Amino acid sequence: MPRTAPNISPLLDSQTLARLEGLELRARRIVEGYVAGLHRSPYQGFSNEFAEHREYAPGDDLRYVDWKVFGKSDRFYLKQFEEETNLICYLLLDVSESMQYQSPGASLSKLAYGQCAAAALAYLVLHQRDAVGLVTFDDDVRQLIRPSSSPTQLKQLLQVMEQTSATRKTRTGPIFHDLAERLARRGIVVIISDLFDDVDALLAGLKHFRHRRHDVVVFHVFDPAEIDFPFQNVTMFKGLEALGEVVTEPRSLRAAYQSEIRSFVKKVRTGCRAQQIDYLTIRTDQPLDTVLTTFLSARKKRVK
Amino acid sequence: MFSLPLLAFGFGNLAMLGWLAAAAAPLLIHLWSRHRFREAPWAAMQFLLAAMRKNARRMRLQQWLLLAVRTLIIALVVLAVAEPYGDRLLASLSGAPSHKILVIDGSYSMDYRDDGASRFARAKRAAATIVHESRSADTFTVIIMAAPARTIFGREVVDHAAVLAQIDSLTQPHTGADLDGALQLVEESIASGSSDRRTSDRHEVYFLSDLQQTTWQFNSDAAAGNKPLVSDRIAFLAKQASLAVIVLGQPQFTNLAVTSLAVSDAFVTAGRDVAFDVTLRQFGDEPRPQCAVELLIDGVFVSEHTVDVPAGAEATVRFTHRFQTPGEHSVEVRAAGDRLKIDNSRWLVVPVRDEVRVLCIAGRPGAAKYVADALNPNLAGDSPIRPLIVSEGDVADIELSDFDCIFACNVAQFTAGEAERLARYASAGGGLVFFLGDRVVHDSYNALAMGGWGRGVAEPPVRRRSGGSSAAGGLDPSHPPLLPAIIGELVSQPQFGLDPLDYRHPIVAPFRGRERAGLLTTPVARYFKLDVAIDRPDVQVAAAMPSGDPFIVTAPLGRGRTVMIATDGSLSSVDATTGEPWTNWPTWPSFLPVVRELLTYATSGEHQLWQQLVGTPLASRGVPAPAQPAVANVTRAALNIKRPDGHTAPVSIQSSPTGIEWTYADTDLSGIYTLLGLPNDESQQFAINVDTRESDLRQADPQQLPPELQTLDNMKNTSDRGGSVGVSRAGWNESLLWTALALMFVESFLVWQFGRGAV
Repeated sequence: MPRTAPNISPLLDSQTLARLEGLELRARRIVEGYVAGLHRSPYQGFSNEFAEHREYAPGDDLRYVDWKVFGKSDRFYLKQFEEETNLICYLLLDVSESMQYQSPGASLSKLAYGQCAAAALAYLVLHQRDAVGLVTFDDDVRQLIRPSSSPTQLKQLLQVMEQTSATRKTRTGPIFHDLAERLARRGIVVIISDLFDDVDALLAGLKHFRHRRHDVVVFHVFDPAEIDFPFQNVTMFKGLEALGEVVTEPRSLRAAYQSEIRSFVKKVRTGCRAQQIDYLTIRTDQPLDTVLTTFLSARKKRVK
Repeated sequence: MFSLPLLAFGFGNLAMLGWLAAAAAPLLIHLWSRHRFREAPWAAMQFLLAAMRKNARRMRLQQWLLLAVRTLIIALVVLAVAEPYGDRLLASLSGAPSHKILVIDGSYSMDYRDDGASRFARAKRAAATIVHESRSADTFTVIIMAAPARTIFGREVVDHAAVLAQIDSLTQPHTGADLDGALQLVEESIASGSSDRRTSDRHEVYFLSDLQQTTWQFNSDAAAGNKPLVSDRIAFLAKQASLAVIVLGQPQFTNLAVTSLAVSDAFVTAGRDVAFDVTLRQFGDEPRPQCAVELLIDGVFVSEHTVDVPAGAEATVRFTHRFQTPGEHSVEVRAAGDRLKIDNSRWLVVPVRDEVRVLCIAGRPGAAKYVADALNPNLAGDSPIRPLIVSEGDVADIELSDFDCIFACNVAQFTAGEAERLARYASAGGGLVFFLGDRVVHDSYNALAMGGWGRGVAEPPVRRRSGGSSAAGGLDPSHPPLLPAIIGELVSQPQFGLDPLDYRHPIVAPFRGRERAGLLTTPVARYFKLDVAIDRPDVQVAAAMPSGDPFIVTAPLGRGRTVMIATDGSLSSVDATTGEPWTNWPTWPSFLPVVRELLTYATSGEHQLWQQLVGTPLASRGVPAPAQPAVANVTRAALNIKRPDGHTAPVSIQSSPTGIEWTYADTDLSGIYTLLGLPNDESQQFAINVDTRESDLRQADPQQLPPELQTLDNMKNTSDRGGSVGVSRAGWNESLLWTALALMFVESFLVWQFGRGAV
């Protein structure tokens, strides 16, 4: 039975998130406020040891409804079990200098938006008793938190992300090769990055993940200005990641620039599809919950 | 050197051109904006750099294109405000073919040589340059503004080579300039073009002139009567065409001209000294010292005098010469050359006689005595005038052509045969003078006055200038009026004095300033009231009675002249009631000079035809065919005119009810014209002289010209006036502003096109 498109809560758009202090709060708001209950978790484990009851929410699997409790109380409760997780999620967050870009019209920088997304995913995964790990990288691996399903894992991940400073250049290709070797257990690798690097090297790195049988998901983050290029007057563009500066008349360059971006996105998307990598372009002015819901819904269909 | 683009282009408000500097504003703003930019951090730098690298050339081109368009918009607006004029550029922008009307001043002042080349040669060069720089589809009309103006080439001419050849072949006429006639031809040319839909509606009129005041003087417009004023014509033309005057002269000039050449005596006879009075005038601010003046008789140098001619004044020279043989002789005086040579010579054709024979027909004994005495008081003296008194009855036996003039004194009447002979005589160039008197038969004279005397029938009366009941008949072409006036009632009223009518007529003109010579006290007691028919404009009243009645009336007849005096020329006509003569005029001091002037006037009818101004057609007057057998017997091919330039041209011969007439209109050069082809190898000379009003080379003030005329100074290559904007300028302004507006739209479109997203 098809679901109706969910209404976007004004509390969950990027501007609202920007007003919330702390990644944890943001992550909880994203997940609890909207995502949970709408979708069946793709990361479910299996266990025979009962743990607790949880009130039924629309979308939950009816197989886990405790009919005895229903018979006694006329209310639907789900039986929850102590699980043994067999899913590991690696969150790879790009913390290069380019991720720090935030156009005047955007509420969050690409990094902040990526952090929210990473936090929300970590929250989701941990909420389902799966293990989640975090890697921050730029031209090198900055932090690597081993996957764990411990309830304290979330705090640790959030703490690492909040303390991250983005000052260096991106070098995705070698990093991905390196991580593909280091992340020994097979799992889901979620890459959150603007991918402003050599596309061929990038795709080679992603291929390496796939070679190691990781399920790879790419969240390609853009600031709206990087897509729309809304500048009007003569502007000196000061390149992040030491790419120099240039003065130009943006109106006359808009079409050409957008063509370059479009070509870049197309190349990355094509490369990802060729390797059966989930690829999603995200603008930082999009509501994050919508983005995640759309992604998870599409992924659920594909996993089924 | 002459430069056409500047020639046909200028600005009414030159100061506004300073604002053209504002056209640099877009460039300055562009450069300034390159240094006034906002800064923005940018992550996707590699894509920006790649886009710039790939589109650098296109962006640069777009920027320059936009800059050019913006600069052009400002420049066009400034140019429009600066009131440009001249259509050449506009025409080339529009791409439409133009109809160019080149009006070349053909007055002889254009022969003045400012610096070697004549103004006329420079006008031809300028015209050729205009043709050279025109587009192949342009059409041309070439008009030469001589007197009369004439169209050399009609507008159908698109063959530039033919136009150039025609311009190159133009020769300098010796006429004045007929501006009004030239404007009329321009109007006609434009009007004929408007009816031809194949041609353009864009008309450009170029006047190539020295802007001489005589031609470009507009103050005398009021005298034009009901003709359109020249300034009105120009205003009218300016609504249809752009008008430009290309000034080819300089304000500074000095010019000597021979303004008159006259023979001192009324009659020139062989073997007697005759004097030629030459008047020279120095135009300009510099005197002409020791100017050599030569006299040439029949083309042969005879003598030379030198004379000092003050600046802006006249000097006279008198030559004395004795002709040895009778016949026609050409006389030429030639002053030493200056920058304008055409007016340095003057010609005269002098008929030299052995003696002047006058036939005096006396109506009664003594009736011609006083006249004959007045003509030659002393027959034994050396006077060339030889009067012969005969009675009425003797006339039939006399060959009239042996006499230069006939005085009919109180002759009672003329038979048809006599009238016929007299008419032939006068038409052939003889002079007839009629004194009336108590023997005059009223009706017989009036039959002569009304024409139709050959039929012996008087025609019904027509309106007359003065009152009276006498009849005036319709003219029989084969028998023109022999007398200039109708004889009316007899007036008996003693009066003293004649009205000389402002001394306008040559007969009384010598009395001007000589009021005590007796003319104004002439006693006349009895006279015929003369009625002048209003349908005869050639009849003139030389003097009138104090009551206003005509006293001396003249009229041309063929090549001769007739004169009628209202009273007797002797004392023989007596008023029966008082016993007093009709007049005591024969005893009065004014009688002798008047009779002499009557003779001079009556015999010079043909001579007048021999001396003409340039541009006046040479023609024989209507002559009864039998009266001029010499002309009647010639053929069209036989009669030719030898021009001063040595060329021979045929004359136009027409047969008319009055006989054979020939005309030759192309008298555009000064000098001696000779009619060839007359029987017995005879020839007839005509002296054609320039109208020396054209010798005054003062220029008209360009500021006084109508504002529609743009004055372009060929010598300076710049506009010398900043007058108001004419129609052509308004067209420019409008075009420029429309272009600027169009460019604004283009600029907006380009900005949108260059800036619109293609992704």
